[in-house]
Amino acid sequence: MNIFSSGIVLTAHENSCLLHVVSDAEAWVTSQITTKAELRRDALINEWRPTLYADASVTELPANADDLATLILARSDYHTRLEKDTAMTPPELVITLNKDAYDAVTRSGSTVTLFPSGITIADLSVNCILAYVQNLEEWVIGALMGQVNRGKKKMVAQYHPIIMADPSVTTMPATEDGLITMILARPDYRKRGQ
Amino acid sequence: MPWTFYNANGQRLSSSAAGISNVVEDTTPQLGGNLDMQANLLVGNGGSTGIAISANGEVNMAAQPSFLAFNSADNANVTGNGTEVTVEFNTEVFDQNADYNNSTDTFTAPVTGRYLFAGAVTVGGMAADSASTGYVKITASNRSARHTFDTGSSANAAGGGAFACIVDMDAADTCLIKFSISGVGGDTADIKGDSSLMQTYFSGQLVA
Repeated sequence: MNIFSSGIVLTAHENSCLLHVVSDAEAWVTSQITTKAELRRDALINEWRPTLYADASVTELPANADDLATLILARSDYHTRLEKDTAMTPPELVITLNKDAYDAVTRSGSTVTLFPSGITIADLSVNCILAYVQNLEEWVIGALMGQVNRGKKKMVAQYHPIIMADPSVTTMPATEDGLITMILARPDYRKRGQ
Repeated sequence: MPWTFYNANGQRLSSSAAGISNVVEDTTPQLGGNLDMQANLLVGNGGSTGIAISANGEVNMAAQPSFLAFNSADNANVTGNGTEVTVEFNTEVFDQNADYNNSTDTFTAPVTGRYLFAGAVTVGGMAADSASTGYVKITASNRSARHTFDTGSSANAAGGGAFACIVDMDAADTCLIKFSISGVGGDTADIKGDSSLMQTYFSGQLVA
């Protein structure tokens, strides 16, 4: 499956905040998705093991985690998180808050596009995540923007005292964007890995 | 007289001249007594922030994910007729590891683990004697936890719900709070907020 086929656009500041806490943005996103898929695969197996043991029609099970997850996902009584949520009365609403917040920001001018050809994820990985998560793109945007927020806060927390102690600085910007611009322009600023 | 200690594998552990020179090669090092940290930290993987243990045994973990945020002003007419809203917690009291975003009211887990979330949502502005029910929902990536409550006759035109749950979260998962009131007859109910007394608040902590 390919998601975000046109890539994920970040402002230059968002990208700088991200690179304050990760050394390679695309590698970080890929790693989070891979780890998430493995954790959800293992959780799926643990959740379904009692059902499989109690099912008289199941006489043997694969000894490989991927194959076992594939067997579970193919069962007629298996449903994705979204299928279960929409089948409830009343149905659980699909959460799009992260995507909505991301889409609400106009990103023009100086931008960076991550994964310009999209993110390709193995079907099994996608299906293991969707056993627990309503929408994969919503999850990825939430993960990414959460890390951008973390990078921004850590950058400000780290450099605000440095600026305050710098006798050559007499005033500082009164906006967060202005402060980040000031921090990034400092000769002593170091992003992750530098 | 100079002395040197060796482990069972013949590796030099310490000497009177240089102290412990190298324990890296010892894959199963053991202490013969208490490890006195003095004023130093236990840090991980080259980090500089870690576990601090005071002389009296109190333990602080300055970068352990832990946050508290609250709603500083009323959100008027946001629910009452079944509308589900994302609860606003716009003011941070603390956010130890920069995991909470007060623009989106969302916590993002930095590592896989078990996270305890607790808080409350207070509602007001409901018509007196309107029989209403509501729910407060911990909405995490892997699962949601919903507590439904009855506001009764709502004669005092106020109510609310508290929540607490230990939630399994994977690294980069998110968590926020949803809230809804039904039976008022229209979206005339307010989610309460105050700049000093926390009436609507959200806290979380990595516990395991």
